[in-house]
Amino acid sequence: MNLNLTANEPPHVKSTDNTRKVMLTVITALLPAVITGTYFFGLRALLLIAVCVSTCVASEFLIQRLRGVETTTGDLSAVLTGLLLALVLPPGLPLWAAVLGAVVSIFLGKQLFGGLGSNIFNPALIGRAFLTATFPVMMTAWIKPFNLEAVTTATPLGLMKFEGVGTPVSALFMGNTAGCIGETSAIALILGGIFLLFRKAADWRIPLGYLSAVIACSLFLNCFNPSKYPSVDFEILAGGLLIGAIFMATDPATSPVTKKGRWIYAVGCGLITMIIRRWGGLPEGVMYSILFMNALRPLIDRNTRPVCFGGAL
Amino acid sequence: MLKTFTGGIRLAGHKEATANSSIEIPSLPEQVIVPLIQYGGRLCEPLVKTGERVKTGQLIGLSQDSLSVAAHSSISGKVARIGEFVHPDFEKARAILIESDGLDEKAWEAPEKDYQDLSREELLNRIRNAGVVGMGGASFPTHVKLNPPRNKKIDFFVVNMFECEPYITTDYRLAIEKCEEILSGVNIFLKILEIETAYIAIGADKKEALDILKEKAAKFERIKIAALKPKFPQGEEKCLIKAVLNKEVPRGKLPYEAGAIVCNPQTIITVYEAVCLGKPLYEKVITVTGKGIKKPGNLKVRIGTLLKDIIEYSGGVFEDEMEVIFGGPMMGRAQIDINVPVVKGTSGIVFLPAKSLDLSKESACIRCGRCVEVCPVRLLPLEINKLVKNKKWERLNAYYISECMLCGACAYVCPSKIPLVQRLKLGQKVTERLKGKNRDAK
Repeated sequence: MNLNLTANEPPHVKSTDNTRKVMLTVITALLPAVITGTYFFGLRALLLIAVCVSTCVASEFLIQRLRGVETTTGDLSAVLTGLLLALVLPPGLPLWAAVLGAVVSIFLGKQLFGGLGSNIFNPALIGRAFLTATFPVMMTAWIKPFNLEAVTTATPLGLMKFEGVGTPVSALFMGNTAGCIGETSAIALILGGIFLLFRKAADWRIPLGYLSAVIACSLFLNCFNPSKYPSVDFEILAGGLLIGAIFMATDPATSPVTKKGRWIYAVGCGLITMIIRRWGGLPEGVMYSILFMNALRPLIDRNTRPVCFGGAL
Repeated sequence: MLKTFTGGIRLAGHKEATANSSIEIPSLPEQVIVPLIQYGGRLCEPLVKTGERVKTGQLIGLSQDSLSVAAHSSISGKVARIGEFVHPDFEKARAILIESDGLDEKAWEAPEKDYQDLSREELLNRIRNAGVVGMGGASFPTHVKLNPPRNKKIDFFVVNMFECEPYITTDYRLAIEKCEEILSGVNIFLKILEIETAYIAIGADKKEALDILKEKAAKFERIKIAALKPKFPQGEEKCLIKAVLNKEVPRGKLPYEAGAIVCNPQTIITVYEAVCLGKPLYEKVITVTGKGIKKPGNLKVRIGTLLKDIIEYSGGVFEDEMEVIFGGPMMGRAQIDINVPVVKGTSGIVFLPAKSLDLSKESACIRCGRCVEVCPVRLLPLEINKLVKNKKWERLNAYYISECMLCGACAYVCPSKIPLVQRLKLGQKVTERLKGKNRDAK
């Protein structure tokens, strides 16, 4: 009988999903935000996205070559980092600054820790935090949508905090406001988020816990003093909350793995965001809240380890 | 809502190839290799010599060890050789090669005494002498399972008809074709265990079997049907007890500690045949299936039938490069020799063409937590993987490494294709060894 037997370890069947597909799903889920960003802020925004993505991929490739390890740019995680970074940058940022941010994301945010899965902080947010700390003026120079002359203005959160001026909900919902390329359009992020959760590329507990905490805080404050604190719809739709809750906080490498841990992490993100927004010096707190909870991630994981089936001995 | 356990995965069943094929009896094999060892037990001493004539069902191997069961010849003929042969679960094991005379002369006959008149001990003895072990895969001796410590109160007997492994349809076919025997067998179990209630646990998607069971079990007050949500590894004893009785078997303990005894339907039929007909265990139904075999089916084969004879009976294979698994594709073991014999624990043989296998290389863990979500015993496979890779053996106990039942659900879902089952198995092995060393040191 002509039969060659190959023997592998079980399980002999596996799901068809892989890392590349997971990354591709998240990238696809971000496409609506890319489209609305380009629509509102012009081709300049698209150029910024392209620069960030290509710089991230190139840096990952080069650093892995220098480290003498296998290059893994094919898993698309660097593409995703570049895309996420670009979407949380102001559309008018000089391209050289974007390049710098992308290099920092990959080098400091990811490869220095050992690469994909070993990083403690969300790489895109590390890049953004670096730029915010280094070039605070550039990072807060906002342009109005559809305005090629780049008239500077303030974001809805900035207007609210420093000038007490509100923004219509419809503008927040569609994205016709000043802000980062990918954060302004709530509808694009919600559509992407639905796709993301439907494809199980992110755990629903994190966006749900994050948004619920913000809603609960905002309801409480607004009910307590409606003239001082903005309404719930404003808190949810303005600023980077949706992109943060749906796409940044859900980064698997930097969020807890236990179910209970994910709830704690998500609620923590929500509470810190609200503390910064309402009592801090900055108009927005999504980035720092996520980075702060990223730092607590190992601690949360360690203390929420489930007791095994049948109980502890 | 259907009863279930937490965790687990939904798998493509692939059962359609054989679900509607009645059990066939292939022609008698020309030779059989009957291993002298059952999983876990000790090696049996051969009771026959080379050249001796044996009959079908004749006792040919015995051990005094309490965890071992007897071995019987599965055909009539001549003992050709006693020695080392390939074994599906170990690399090699002592076994008896018997060449058939084609007569299939029986060595057993129906006992005179009806089982109703037998004592518990006499019943257990008949089961032991017939060489009955669990036939779902683990091969645990049935007379041991049915004889828990007398101070433990057993409340329920559960028939495990779940068959959660993809491809395998033996229990499904037995439920349809041998329902009466199963139900009569359950009554024997209830008598031995001295309890009142039995559950038959089966997947809610197995409509035809479920309908037949419901209809036939209606006349037995003590037998209830539990339809469970189709999910892997629902057929694992602990998951089954959790789903049916909502009880968790305490950590590191056997199911009787939760007041339940679980048996596979084929084991029950075998017990029925042993007790009522005097027939020892020398044949069993297996599913021969997979994309690589030309004529899939459910075959009643003699224990010791060689893989190559089964391939020949099943019309041959489609591909030259093949993975042949004894058991299901999730937990079964890939074989490396076509002369390997079917043993008492073989539930099926799955033929997967090599080109259909996912042999992707392991990539970095992205901490997605899917392994945590699906683990039926609530472990953190990703953390254990890291500890094993870094050889932090002493920390593994804090991660409940011993509780892993190696179901493979984590490795199935892992997008980074990390060989989690091997890592967990290695972790278990080393911690066991370290435990042994510590004990010796004390």
